[in-house]
Amino acid sequence: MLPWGYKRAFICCALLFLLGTVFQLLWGGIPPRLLQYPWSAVAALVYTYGLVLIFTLSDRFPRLRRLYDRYASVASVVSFTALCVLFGLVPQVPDGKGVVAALGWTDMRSSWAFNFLALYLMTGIGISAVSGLLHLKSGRLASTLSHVAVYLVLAGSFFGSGDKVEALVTAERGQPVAVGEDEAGALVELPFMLVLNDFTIEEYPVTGPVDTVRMEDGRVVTMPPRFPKRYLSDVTLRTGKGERKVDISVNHPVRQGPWRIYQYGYDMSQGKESRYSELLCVKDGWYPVIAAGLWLLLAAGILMFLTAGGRRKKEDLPR
Amino acid sequence: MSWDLFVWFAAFAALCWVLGSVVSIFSKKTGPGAALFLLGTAALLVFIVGMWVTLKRPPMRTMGETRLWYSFFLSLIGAVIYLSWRYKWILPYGTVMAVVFLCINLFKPEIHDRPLMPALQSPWFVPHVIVYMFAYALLGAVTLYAIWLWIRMKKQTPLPEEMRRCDILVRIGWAFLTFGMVMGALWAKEAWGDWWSWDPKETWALATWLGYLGYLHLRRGPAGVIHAPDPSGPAGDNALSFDVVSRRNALRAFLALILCFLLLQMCWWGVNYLPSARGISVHTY
Repeated sequence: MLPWGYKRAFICCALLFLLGTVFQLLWGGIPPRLLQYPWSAVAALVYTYGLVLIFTLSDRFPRLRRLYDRYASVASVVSFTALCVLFGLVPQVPDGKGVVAALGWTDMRSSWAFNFLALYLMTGIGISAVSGLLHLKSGRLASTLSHVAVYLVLAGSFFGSGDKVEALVTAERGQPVAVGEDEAGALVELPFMLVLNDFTIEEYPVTGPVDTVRMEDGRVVTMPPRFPKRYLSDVTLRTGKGERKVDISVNHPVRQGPWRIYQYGYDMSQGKESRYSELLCVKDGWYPVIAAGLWLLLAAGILMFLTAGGRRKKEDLPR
Repeated sequence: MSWDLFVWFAAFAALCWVLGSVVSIFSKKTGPGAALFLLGTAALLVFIVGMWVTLKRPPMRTMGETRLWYSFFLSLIGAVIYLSWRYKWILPYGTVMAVVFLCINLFKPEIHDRPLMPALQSPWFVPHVIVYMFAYALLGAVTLYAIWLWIRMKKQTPLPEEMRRCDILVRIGWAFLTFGMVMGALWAKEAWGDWWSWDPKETWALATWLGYLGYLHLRRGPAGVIHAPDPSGPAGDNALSFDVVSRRNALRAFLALILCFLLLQMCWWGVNYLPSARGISVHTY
């Protein structure tokens, strides 16, 4: 029933999946931080240039069109959707055991098959973006814009994944601190110093029904439920150039050069009396690429919404 | 406003929707039926706004609260489609769907009077949820439209403009899914320092978004678009082959729409029941 083009493209996806699975069984998952600056940027540029090259050569070598024709687009999107479904169904545990883990399904982000199919998808989207940009047509503006946007987001996260530096800083009141821990527990030195002046938890005014709490000694105590309104760290940031006082709270990170500092946590067992605040410092050099892609995608969505009915005039719409 | 009053607003809205549907079936004009129908939608809006004011936060945190928006947008979209294309079946359909979600709220309330936690206090919160609810309602509508066309296929092959209508609705729905996802990413970066963290809800949202993207690509270009038969050519064979091709394409499209809607259901509420999502999703409250 399916045209041969679809079959070929789906077979291509299946082969990529198989190849990825073989790699997975041979070497395990893709190690984190495989690509780091400047190599990540070099790889991204070379790859993007490669896509331009493929597009310009595809007139002479029509077979190259199979990377981004409509069959490839449907097959790559559908195959990647299927992997996302698998991703959503299998519980993700970092150190899984058993067959499912060996196949890489319990840590999908680092599995070869997932990344191969993502690369295939990204390649098709990238070449389509190049094609759209080189042959701009007003009727295909929304489509071109969304391909460019999605390419920026995908390429930024694909090539930039090894460059993000995260440091979780546990700042105790009054103690200057300039080092944090990354996800693996390794120490990360920061180019600035943090001093926690104060950490506060604001709560909503107490209203509503009471909660019944059974204490450890068996007594039953009723108390109104308390809901946090704001976690606030009052911090002094010191750099070689001087110091400044900042307020850091959830949804309100503070920028310090290329770093952003987020309110992350506190001593939950102590609640309001917590002696420390956990601040997450993130350096993400690819921020502008992904942000540009996302805002562009928002614009593309608006354009797509406005032109959803095609260029036909309203009078022509069938009744 | 409180949930105690909900039953009255729900009953009034349902009554308006039913009366509006009946009028729309028998009346030759679209105005009276649509007006009556929209009165029900307005009543629901009054309840939603009232809850917003009372709770001092947008009512979109719990499943129960999001169902209010779903009912609201379903009925609103139903009325808009009715006014644009005058389908007689759309208002009864919108009524059934919207009432089902009101009833779920009446019989299975998941009501929490909790205030907004710090992570949710963001300018992105309200648009993020509303665009998703709008997209879900629209894509729900197009799914039922597709099922109706499919059932009707025994008697009649879907017309090119009917297929085109499906495509337009999906394109709008997909645009709104995109808004929701992008807003979520921009928000997550502000709140946690990550654009995307493969939270189970995010994974399923991506699967849904990709699914509809697949539909759009399937329907694009010569492989997807149903060509009108050449009016100058001979009617016989030409007309037959057109019918066969268009039926096959239509079937493929309907199947895709239903599969995508299953993904959407998984993302919307199915994920709450998945072992892979228990306790680790920031999207379960």
